[in-house]
Amino acid sequence: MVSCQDVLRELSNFVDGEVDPALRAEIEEHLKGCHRCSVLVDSTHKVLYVVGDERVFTVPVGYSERLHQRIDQGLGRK
Amino acid sequence: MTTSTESPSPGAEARLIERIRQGERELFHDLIRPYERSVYLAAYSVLRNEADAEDVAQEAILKAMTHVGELRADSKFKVWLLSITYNEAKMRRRKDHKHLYESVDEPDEGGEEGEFMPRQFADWREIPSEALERKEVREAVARALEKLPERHREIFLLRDVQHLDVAETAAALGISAPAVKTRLHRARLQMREELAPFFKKGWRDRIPFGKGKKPW
Repeated sequence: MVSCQDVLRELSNFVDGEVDPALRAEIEEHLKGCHRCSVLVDSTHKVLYVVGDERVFTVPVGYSERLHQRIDQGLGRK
Repeated sequence: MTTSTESPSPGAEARLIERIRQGERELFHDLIRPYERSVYLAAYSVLRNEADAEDVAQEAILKAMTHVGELRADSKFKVWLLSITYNEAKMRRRKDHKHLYESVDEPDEGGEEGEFMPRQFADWREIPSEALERKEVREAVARALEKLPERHREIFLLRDVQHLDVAETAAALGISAPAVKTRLHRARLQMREELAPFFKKGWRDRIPFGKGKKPW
């Protein structure tokens, strides 16, 4: 049986799908009966979902235009 | 703006690089477009100042343009590009001797000023009602990231924002895969700690998957 500590230790590997199938099954079983760990895993998934959309980060207005102008200069154009 | 930020297929990208090598250098515009945002974010994660980050992003990209002919066939352009960016950003920081930047080994004091991304800047296309909602999200994520120690922040950005795998992240930063995993674990736990209170305020219903149905 896995403990809450085990889940915490394996959390990152678990959300990446990088724990072996036997351990994965044990963790999933644990999650069914442990509200705390289930919230832990669920909220970690949510964080990764939100930050995984690069649009959540902004870049300065005009960044792209200025960059491509620099590239043009680098290519020897005006 | 109609530029594509979708990553091209590896085959298409390899062909593009080959054409650039053969002399069609203006195609570098197309090669870089899907990654220009990632380069800025990488530079910002080190420098935490938008003017410096933009400057370093441009330098890194021009450097990549000059040296694209040296890219090994088995190297991934994005990883190589981000590796150049991190090196440039860290060199810039070292050169400037800016004491206000955190030590690599120490957690950020965090909190007061300088959010991860400046609020007044916006460069994305969304319907306005969602944009407002997103602004909240952006700011919360920015604050949370700002609190991460740099060595955790850079890993988190590469793995979870820019979707490099562990080996690619290790290659981009010049560290070992186990170090990536350890730092990533800590970074994710801390990000979760920072952002979890947000979920209670209603994100739960806005995120389009339920328990057991994850998009990865």
